[in-house]
This record gives sequence, structure tokens and C-alpha cells, in this order.
Amino acid sequence: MEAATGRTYTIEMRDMAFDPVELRVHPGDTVVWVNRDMVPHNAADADGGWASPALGRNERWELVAGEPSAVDYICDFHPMMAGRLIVEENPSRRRD
Amino acid sequence: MRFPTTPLRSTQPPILRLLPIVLSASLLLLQAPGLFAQELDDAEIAHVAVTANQLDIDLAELALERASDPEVIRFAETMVRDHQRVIAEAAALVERLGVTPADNDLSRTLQAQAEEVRTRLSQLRDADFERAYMEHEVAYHEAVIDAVRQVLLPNTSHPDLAGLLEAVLPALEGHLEHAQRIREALGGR
Repeated sequence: MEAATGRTYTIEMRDMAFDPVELRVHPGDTVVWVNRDMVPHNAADADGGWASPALGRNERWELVAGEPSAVDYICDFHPMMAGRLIVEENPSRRRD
Repeated sequence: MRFPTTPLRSTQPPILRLLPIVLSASLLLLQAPGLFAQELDDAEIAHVAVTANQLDIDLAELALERASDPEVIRFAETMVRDHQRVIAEAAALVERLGVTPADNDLSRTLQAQAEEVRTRLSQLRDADFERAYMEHEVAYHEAVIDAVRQVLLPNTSHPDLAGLLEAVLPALEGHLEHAQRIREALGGR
């Protein structure tokens, strides 16, 4: 991933689900996962590209979005928890 | 943690008369006749909650010794991790509330029946163990979810204890779904 230059988005882990389930960001945006549940969760690229550590209640983990991509991710501990992170090309780059 | 025994009450509120119906679908859980001819107070509910969580940890540890399927192992690890977290939250709550969890007939029955399950599962190996363990986990979580909704929550008088039970429900439902998925996957091999 790359240095944070854009907006910050938060995904909550609440009631055994990611909220929002799907998030669209741009390169340089920061995505923060926050666990609001009693039990530990993590967020992990389903293809093994990245993974957060186990997050206890109210703990957070962040990553900075890199190149445009679409990543399906899960909680390793509760695989029915699934989300999708879509990194779209920056609008400014599209205009170039 | 040690739980002192306290006398049980003898009255039977309407909700408890539903118990045989509510819990009839469970595996071995909660089937002793006349077991619910009493109501549970907060101290007893706290004890039942801790007991139910600990029993599932104990069985998960057996699964970690016996199972080889990676999904079953991951599920068992999750049971240990999550139920330990719930016990820790419950312990912190009862300490803050000044409630001493009280042993009771329901907790004792859960422990006795868990011992029966453990004995049965201990005689199985490999895929037979894994299928039986996952069958048990599906039935156990179904029964516990029913018990929380229809027995423990209606009998809880303290809002913080009710809040803890309500906060646990999504995790229990997630465990149930996880267990059902694995059971179905194992059934096809």
C-alpha cells in the first residue's frame, strides 16, 4: 500500500458483520476497521494479500489503499463475515 | 472461579412452563424432567452463562486434540477464543455488580450432560469425531440461543446482565452458522 493522502473511511465490525459490507475508495485513502463486538475479529484479504491482527473490542487497524483493485476479505475467525474493498482509480487521473 | 451454591426458588413463572417445548430440539441439553421447576435469579443466570461457555471451550479443546480437518480446527480455535472472551466479560460484569454466580440445577445438568457428550466423542476418531463434534456444536448452539432468548433474558432483572446476554447473541448465531457450514461440508466427504 502507499502513503495516506486522501480521505479516511471506517468499517465497523458489529454483530458479526462488516458495516459497510462494500466500500469504494481511491488510492491514498485510509480504511480503518474497528471492532465493536465482544468477540475478537480480524480483516483478511481472502487471497492472502494482507491481514490485520486480531482486534479486541474497540480496537482498530488501518491500511492505505494502493492501486485500483477489488478485494474480497473475511474475518479469519468467523468466515461468514465477508466484505469487499474496491479501490477505484483517482478521478484526477482519469481526467489526465 | 468458584461458585457457591445457593438455594433455588420453587415458584414457576409462565415462561418456564414453555421450557420443555423450547428446548426439545436440543441434543442432550436441558432434558431432565422437572429441571425448570424453579426460576433463575441473576446470580444463577450468571453461573449458567459462564458454565455454558466453559463447557464449549472444554469440548473445543478436545476437538483440537482429535480433529485434523483445518476448518474444524479453525472452528474449535474460534470457540476457545470467543467463549473465553465472553467469560472474561461476564466475570468483569458480575464483579462490578457485586453478584456472586450461584450454582444451580441447570448448571449442574449442563455439566453432567457435557460429560456424557465428552465420553461419547472421546470414543471417536478422525472423520467420525469431526462429524459428531460439528453435529453437537450445531445442536448446542441452537439450544443455547433458545435458552438465552426464552429463559435467561426474560428472567434477568439487571439491565447490564441483560445487555451482556444480548451482546452475546450475534456471536452465538455466527457460531451456529459457521458450524452448520462445516457440518454440511463434512457430510459430503
